[in-house]
Amino acid sequence: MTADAHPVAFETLVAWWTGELASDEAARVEEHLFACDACAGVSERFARLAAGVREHLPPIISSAQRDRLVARGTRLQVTAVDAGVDATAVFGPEVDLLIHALRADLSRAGRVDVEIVMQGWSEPILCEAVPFDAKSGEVLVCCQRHFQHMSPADPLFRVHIVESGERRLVGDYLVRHVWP
Amino acid sequence: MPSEDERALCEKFAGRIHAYGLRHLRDGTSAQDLVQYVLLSVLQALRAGRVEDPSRLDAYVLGTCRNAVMDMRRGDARQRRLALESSAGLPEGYELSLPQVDRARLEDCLRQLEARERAVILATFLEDRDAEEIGHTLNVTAGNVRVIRHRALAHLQGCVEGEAS
Repeated sequence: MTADAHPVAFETLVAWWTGELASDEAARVEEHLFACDACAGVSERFARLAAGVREHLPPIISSAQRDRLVARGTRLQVTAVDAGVDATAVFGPEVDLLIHALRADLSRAGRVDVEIVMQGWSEPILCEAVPFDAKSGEVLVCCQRHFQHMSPADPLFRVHIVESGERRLVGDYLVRHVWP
Repeated sequence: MPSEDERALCEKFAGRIHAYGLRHLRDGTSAQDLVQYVLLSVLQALRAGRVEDPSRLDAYVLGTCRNAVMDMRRGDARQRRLALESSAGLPEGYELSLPQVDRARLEDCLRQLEARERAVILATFLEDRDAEEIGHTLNVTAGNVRVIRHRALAHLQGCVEGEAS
């Protein structure tokens, strides 16, 4: 299907959103999306979804995302956490987000995966290929206020790294949360 | 132009301009500014008889969007806001309404995706990484990333909009 065909294919819409169309194709898609009521409706629904995902805060964020949050005035409290050593973080009213900086030697990691083990859940939440900072050796967990009610106990963060194609466990990280 | 026609024009194009703004400006507030600015610019042009072919209004609106986005990228947002404040308002009785996705539902739906699908979606939209880069990290081809992404987005949209999963 060509870029200006009607209806605009979902793949084409995604490619337009992700900047994967050649500029002339993208221009034709845009012209169609402004002229066609049906395709405009599909595009608007997709735009709402994409914008929502873009503003979504995942459980693990990159240092660039952390810096963007700070630039926007978000009040962060960062807690450094080492494997096997319990840490404590207080989610006070003066804080918008808690950031748990899980520390490890990530200098040779090609990829980092994090399992979030929640008490009462049948399976851990697996976060594959999460952002990490190889230089500072940090994986940043972004704890949001509404997480308070997701599990009766503090979650455990289990960090794995992939080095030269081999996946290995780095360690378990526990943060005791205090919700005043 | 009667005010009910102006309201109909705003209702028709607000969502399209917003989608265009979200795509090109990558920021909800800027996209909302764009909607307001473009609607006012188009209405003013129509009132002044400056639209040569009103039957191709869609092309005129798109052209206005393109120019405004270029200005905004050049950092003319402040001037644009000042222009908005001093310009005539939107038609009487029209309230700009730009629906947003239900955040809590989106979070649930993201959690329901397979781990690999979620990783691809978040890398695409939060990290602005292309299929090649994501494929390199996940050890799959760029083509596979596009397939995973396409399938995941379709699931996600169905879930967020309330289809049975």
